[in-house]
Amino acid sequence: MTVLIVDDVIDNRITLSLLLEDVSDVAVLEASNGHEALEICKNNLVDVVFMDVMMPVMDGVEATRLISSLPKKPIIIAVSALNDSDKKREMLKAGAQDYLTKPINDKLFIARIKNYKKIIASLFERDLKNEWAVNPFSRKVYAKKILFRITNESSLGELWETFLLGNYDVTDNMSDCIRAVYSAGSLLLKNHLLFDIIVEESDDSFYFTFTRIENYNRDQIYKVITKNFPTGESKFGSMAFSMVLEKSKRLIVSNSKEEKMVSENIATIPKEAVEDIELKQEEAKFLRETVSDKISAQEFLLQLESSYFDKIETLVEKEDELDASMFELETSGHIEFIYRIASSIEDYILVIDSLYEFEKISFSLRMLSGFLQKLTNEDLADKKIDKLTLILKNLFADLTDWRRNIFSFKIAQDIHYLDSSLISSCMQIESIFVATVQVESEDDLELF
Amino acid sequence: MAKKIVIVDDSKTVVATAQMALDDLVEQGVFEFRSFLDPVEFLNEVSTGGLDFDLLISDINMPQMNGLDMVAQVKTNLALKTKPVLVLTTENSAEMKQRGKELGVTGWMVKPFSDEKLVKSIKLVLGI
Repeated sequence: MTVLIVDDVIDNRITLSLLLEDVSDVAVLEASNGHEALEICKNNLVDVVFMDVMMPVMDGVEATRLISSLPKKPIIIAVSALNDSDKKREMLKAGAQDYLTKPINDKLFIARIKNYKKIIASLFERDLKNEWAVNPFSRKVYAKKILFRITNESSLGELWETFLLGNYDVTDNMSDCIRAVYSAGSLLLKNHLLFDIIVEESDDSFYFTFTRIENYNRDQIYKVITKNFPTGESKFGSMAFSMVLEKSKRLIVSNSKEEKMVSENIATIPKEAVEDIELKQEEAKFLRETVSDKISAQEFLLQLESSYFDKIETLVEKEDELDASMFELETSGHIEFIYRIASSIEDYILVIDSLYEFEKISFSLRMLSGFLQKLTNEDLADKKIDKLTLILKNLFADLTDWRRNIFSFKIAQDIHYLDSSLISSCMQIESIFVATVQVESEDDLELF
Repeated sequence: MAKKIVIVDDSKTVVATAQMALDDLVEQGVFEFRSFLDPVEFLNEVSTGGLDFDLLISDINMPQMNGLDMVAQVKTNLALKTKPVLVLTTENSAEMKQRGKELGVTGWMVKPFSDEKLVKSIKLVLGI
């Protein structure tokens, strides 16, 4: 922890720094006036400032005000010989968090320092792994989230106000981003859709996630966002979409030398790139149509909200349950295990439904589960149970492979590759028990 | 001599069902049966020269690669290009079928299939 002692009287500085020697892990810097203090804070990462109030050149109030507006604002404690409540109020208003009167009580001072150490340490080690991140870009966001429940233009206005008129002046792109958020929101409202916007923050970005939107037009929204915020990145899901706003490099770097280097490296997106984005959109649309709307696992996962890990864990759990039940069924032949299997399938369906893209899989499994639940002991006679267990075993193996191909290995070129196979496998199972009159259908085999 | 049948389908259900359907005939020595769950693995065996078949049955929608693309590659193999290919799929679109036709596919069978239908189709295509 770095502490800055600001006092024009050298004896006072010595007193404080002697006290600080008793506290471990503290580096001490000194300044004899507000101006020096400001320079030191600009060029170093200062955590705590003990600011004397009455000083020449630049007094404590002015220095506090200026230091408070720096990006990495330190904790400022006003120190004064005067027990002046007006001065106290002025210092606190200027940005000080605390006020000490001289002569300083040793024990009190040490206790305060230790407290500040704790606070600084907790800020430093801020746990940025938020399991419940709403945005699809990063799980490392602060615990604090701002929720805007959007029901009309006025709600959008509140968001505008918060970010453009409030204390969030973080980047040149902020206004572009908010304009994009506002435009996208207005578009959704025009289409009579109500939704939430959840704003999350990390050390280097803000994330704006629109959620709980039923049936929105992805292309329309994409166009509106890229028109207003061409340099921003956005991701789209079936009921949500999100965009990220990178914080200005100014905020991350506190050293002015580094600042200069970084600002030279920040590339501005050329106009052609913006047009490229629109062209690629058209191409992608065309390609998608040609290959009948195929979505690869990679594409799908990019669009998916980040909270899908838990869901996949549940799928794996259910697959294990199905394995166990299948084993019992094979060894005992008890119908009880068929019902248990049906129940695990129902749970599996719940997770599949929450992923929104797999209606056909859900449909097949629902069909299967319903069918299994209706089976009775009589149905299992004549070795039908053997055929059933064989097909079921392979069906669950296919389902597991499908889950792995998409969520683990991410190699599936079309996330819907199992859809039709699964339906026909389920129908195959039904055909074991239901004696259908086999009508010679010409559609079944076509010779070229 | 037993006719060699090779089936390529990522679905374990389909492979198991087909195996079951052909079990009796395999035991009788009418057919020899091999299956591949991975089209890429199948193509590797073809290109390293080892693999031979009298009939190829192929799925289309597979996660690793499209079945028709796989068939196209098989057709570049001198030894195998004249061998009959039966497509076994849920796909029923005219475009797909046209592509299959152009590739030289012999027959197009739509899932789900019954054991009897499969055996019948195989016998028909092999002229047994």
